[in-house]
Amino acid sequence: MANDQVPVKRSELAIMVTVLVSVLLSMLNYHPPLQAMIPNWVLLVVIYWCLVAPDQFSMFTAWGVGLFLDILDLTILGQHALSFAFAALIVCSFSPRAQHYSLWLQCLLVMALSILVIGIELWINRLAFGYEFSALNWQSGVVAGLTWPVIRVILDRLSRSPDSRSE
Amino acid sequence: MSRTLISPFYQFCLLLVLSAALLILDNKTELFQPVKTIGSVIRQPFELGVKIQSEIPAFAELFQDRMSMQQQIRNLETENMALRVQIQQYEAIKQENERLSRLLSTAVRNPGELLLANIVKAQGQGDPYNQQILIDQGFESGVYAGQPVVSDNGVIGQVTEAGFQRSSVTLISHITQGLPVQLVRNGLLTVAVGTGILGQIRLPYLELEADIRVGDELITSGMGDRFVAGFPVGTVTEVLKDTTRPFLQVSVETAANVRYIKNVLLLWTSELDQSEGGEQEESGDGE
Repeated sequence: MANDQVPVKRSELAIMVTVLVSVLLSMLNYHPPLQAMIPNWVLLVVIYWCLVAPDQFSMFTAWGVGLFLDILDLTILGQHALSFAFAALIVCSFSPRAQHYSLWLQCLLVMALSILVIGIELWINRLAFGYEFSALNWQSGVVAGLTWPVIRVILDRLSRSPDSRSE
Repeated sequence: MSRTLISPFYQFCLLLVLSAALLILDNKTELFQPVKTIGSVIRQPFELGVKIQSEIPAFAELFQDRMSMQQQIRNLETENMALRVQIQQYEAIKQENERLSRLLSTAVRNPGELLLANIVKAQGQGDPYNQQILIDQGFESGVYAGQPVVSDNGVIGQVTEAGFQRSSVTLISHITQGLPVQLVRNGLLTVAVGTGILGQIRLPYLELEADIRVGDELITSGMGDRFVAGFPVGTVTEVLKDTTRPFLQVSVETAANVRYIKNVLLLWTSELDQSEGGEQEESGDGE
């Protein structure tokens, strides 16, 4: 494996695999009351990689992942792409420091970002289809913030030890 | 890399312009239809999780004992028998109905072909407005945008995007949807509009004197040329009469509960021009 020699560089395979797994997770069905609470897994993974490996996972990658999700979900093209790029921009502006923030602060950041992304998607839908505004579905954003420590630990494990999962 | 060349802000501006272009083009034109076709195909390997999810009950059935299976089969046979008898009556009524409406020279449309589709995903994630479901039939089997979708207990919605083997269906409770309905009790015609809450629609265009009460059943009226008349839509759960407002506020609970269904039926109406469709609204809700 080529990645073994460069310890600073995160495994690109890990990035690919985690993004694909998160897309797979986002396809699962839940009963609708639960569905509203399920965080956007793909967004969490995108935030993680933007935070930890901004050189390999740029805003453009985030945009690309969003577009991929748009294509898969038959939603209006550019909806997820734009909101993910925006999340990446914000993470980028916090980037080198935010890695060393306390976990609580990171949770808050992720929570805020998730709610922002939901807001952007709602706004895009409003522009495209002329919906009226109503209550924002913020619950999944809060859950996203709460699951961040778990996601962080799992992804840290995956990205730090390239021999564990890379084959 | 590019990160060092341009500042993140300008990178974002570039992406913003790109996304805006995509959004506008996708919303206003049919340019990206091939992309959606491809999307509905590459989606399939990702549905592995969904497959496993749906296999779990089947797996549990393996351990069901023989007796209860036989009991189940017997129950189904009885139900089937009862339904067959009902259909015989239905056929007679249908013919009579056709004769009567010929006499009245009104057009009747019979539900033509039916196609069973499985729900692949309920797309309500993180967005109360996004009340759409994905089904596992696409234009490969003749599904078209604007096609009515029903379940065994009532109207579900209409197809809004037909992919190759997947289509997205927008539910009648979606905020952009309007559906011409009729009260079973007195034939009152009106339009039902989505609320954005799953399983909830409302009737915003009834004047304060309208004869409607809690418990009234609603069916499709067949106006607007998309749905065949007579499908159950829902039951009135609340009638609010506020004299400071010009109209009654009527809440309706939809008959089909998307929470608990796995399959839907796609309808092809026999006299309907199948090439039409693609618009968001069932009928114009002129506010």
